[in-house]
Amino acid sequence: MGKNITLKKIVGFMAVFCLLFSVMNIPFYPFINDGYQYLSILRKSGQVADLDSDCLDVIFLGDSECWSSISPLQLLGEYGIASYNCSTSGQWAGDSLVMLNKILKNQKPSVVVLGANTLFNQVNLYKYMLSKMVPILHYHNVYSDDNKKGGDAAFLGANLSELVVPYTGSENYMENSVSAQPLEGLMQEKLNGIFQLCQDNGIQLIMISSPSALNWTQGKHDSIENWCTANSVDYIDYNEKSVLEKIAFDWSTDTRDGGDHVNLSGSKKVTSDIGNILKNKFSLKDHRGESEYSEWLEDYLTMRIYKNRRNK
Amino acid sequence: MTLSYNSPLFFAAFLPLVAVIYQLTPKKFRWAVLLIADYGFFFMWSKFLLLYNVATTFMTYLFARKLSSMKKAPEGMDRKVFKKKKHRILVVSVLLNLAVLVVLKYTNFIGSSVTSLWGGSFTALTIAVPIGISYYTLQCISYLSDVSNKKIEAEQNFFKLALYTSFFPTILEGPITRFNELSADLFAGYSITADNLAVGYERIIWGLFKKMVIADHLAPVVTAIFRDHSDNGGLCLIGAVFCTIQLYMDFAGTIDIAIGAGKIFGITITENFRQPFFAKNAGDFWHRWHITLGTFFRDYIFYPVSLSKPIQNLTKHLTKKGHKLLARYLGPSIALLCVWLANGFWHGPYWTYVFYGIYYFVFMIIEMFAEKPFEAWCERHNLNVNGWGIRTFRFIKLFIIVIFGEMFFRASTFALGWKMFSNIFVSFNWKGCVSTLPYLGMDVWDYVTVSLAFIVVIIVSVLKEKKYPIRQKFEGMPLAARWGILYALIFAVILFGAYGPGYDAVAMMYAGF
Repeated sequence: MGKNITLKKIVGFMAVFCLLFSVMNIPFYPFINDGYQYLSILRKSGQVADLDSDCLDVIFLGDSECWSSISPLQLLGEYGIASYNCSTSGQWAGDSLVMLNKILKNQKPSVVVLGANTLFNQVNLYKYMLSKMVPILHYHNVYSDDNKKGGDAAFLGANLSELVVPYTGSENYMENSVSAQPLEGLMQEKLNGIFQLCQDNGIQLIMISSPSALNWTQGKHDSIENWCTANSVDYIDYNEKSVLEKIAFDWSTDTRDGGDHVNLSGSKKVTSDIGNILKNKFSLKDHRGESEYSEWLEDYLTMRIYKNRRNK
Repeated sequence: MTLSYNSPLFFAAFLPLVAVIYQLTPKKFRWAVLLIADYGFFFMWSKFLLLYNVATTFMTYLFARKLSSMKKAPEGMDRKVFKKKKHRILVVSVLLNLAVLVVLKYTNFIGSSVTSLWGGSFTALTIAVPIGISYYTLQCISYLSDVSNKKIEAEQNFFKLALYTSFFPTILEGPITRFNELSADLFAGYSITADNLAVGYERIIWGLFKKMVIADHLAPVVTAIFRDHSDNGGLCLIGAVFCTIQLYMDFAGTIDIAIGAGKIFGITITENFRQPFFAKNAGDFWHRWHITLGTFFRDYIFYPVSLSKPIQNLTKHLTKKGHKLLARYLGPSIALLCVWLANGFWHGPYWTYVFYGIYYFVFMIIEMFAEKPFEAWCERHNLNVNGWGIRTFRFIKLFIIVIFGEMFFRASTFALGWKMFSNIFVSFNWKGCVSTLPYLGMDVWDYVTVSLAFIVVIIVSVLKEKKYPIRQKFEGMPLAARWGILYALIFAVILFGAYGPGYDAVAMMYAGF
């Protein structure tokens, strides 16, 4: 008898728990729209939301590869291109789409540059689905102050590092893995979403692969190239030998961690090249004479002077 | 795939699944369900390194049966010779158990230490170590010793012994159980009752609260301080305090989960903590912290060494020569040194751990000599040794001993530990400390959350120390109040637990030892 009563109590406890749990989930459902890696998405999109409306012509999306290789301050200083690097660590295609949606609320860029490696960042499908069904378990840290931090705001979103850790492996790393690495269904769906969003807003989409001897492969290159050809999207792979030679990329001086991410020296080369392409291919306005951008230009000059002094 | 005790996969999937299968199985075979669960759990962590556990268990099983069969000296054999022979078998079995542990865990340490003596270099070997080896090896040693001393009978069924040496709630972090304490419950096949289920899960929730709300929040701050901020004495001091709290909450929380998991099956697992920070000195602290390790060393190192012939002879010799004080203290001191060296080495193949052992040895020796004079001094000055003032003094003294001990314990090298320790006195930059602290992985709200949770744990500890019957009072509460407390704890873990984006999964700290 006693046992039955206790069992009833356990069932009752679980029933009330389920009810409370469901109610507690309600305030977290809206945050589903903030992406899977919502802390970094909110932090970065918050930085852009703080800028003047329609002040950016180019947006960079991607993971740490793109985050470390594109410097918007340099693009402004060298070419007058107003841009922001909205890449975040480990960003996957779904979050790139979320980020772009958020950016478009107060910006009307002409070009979106997508770092291709974001399409190969796996997300645990079960956890992803669970985060949508029971958001409290995934989004409970949403009020954390973490989303207000971000030292990269000073560099318009770029993650720059002077650290030099040379890559000592073979320069033919692209040849080591020739087997195709097809885009997974979910990634394909999110990529199409980004493409569609760009088309709907009259934005030109470009894809790039940052130099990464440890991360990039011929298989990935082939998949991206196939998709870009099929959709008439420009694709620049900075891992191709000819491209690396063109920008004079040096694996002994231009990487910060032994060949995975580029350092400041490497990012200068990549940024300079992409700036040249953007300037020549699209009629982007030169903002260097405009007062609204003078502060950023000062930042660029300070950074350059500081660097030159250090080099002396 | 690994199954941490604080992973939902463990407490919300694995544990209920095992419980259901266990309950549906006839009573006679329920222990076998637990054994399958043990091996499944072990395999998920260590894959085929499980074979080490099986082999150690088999070796222990054979030796124990041999020792158990040696009840009396055979006709014609001298009793002393027989006893010596039995003792030799016990020593061999213990050494073989230790050999497996030493080879797997200490080869690189011994190799690098020995080669460094003559300035050579040692290429570290990659040796995979199975989970829980430090725990189940001690259990095997205690089992063999108890069988040899006729405290227990050798288990006749190998698989039942295997259940004892691989029991999934205790395999990762202990407690280091004794066969005679656990076997009856392990093999009884008790039915799962609603009461045990409720009590078991309540204990699991309490453990999760300690680990996920307090320990895991502190983890990134402690890591950052020990890695990047050893120059700032203020941060070093905070790092030492946080590291102590983190270690305690992590270890005690995980033990709560283990005890709760056992309770679900009606298995009572020995407690491993008893409000350690209310201890009156370092010796008492170790009677309350990692209790089962302390009792293991007491029973299988301290007593045997103290009562060994060489020590007895030495004591007799010193007494004869008139060195009464030395005769009284030298034996226990040697035994204590063995205990603390073993304690240090047990934690792992690093000199910081050896230093940690010696550190406590020194304090215990000081206490051994100073306790009585101190009490006499208190009496002379009309101070109550159990009064509030002396108790506060003892608490502060113990807290300082413990936090500095944990600082060296946590530091990656002795040099780093020493640098942090000395910087507290020579480079204490409070301003830099206050300005840096908010950027080390915890924001203001995290500090508020952790502080409140810590206060809850302290209140419970104080009540327990005062022998307040918390459990009975809790059960006597109206249903709504009881459920309210449980829901508050569960939602505190869900809402304020350090998991999900922004947090790296924090491994159970003592699982690495």
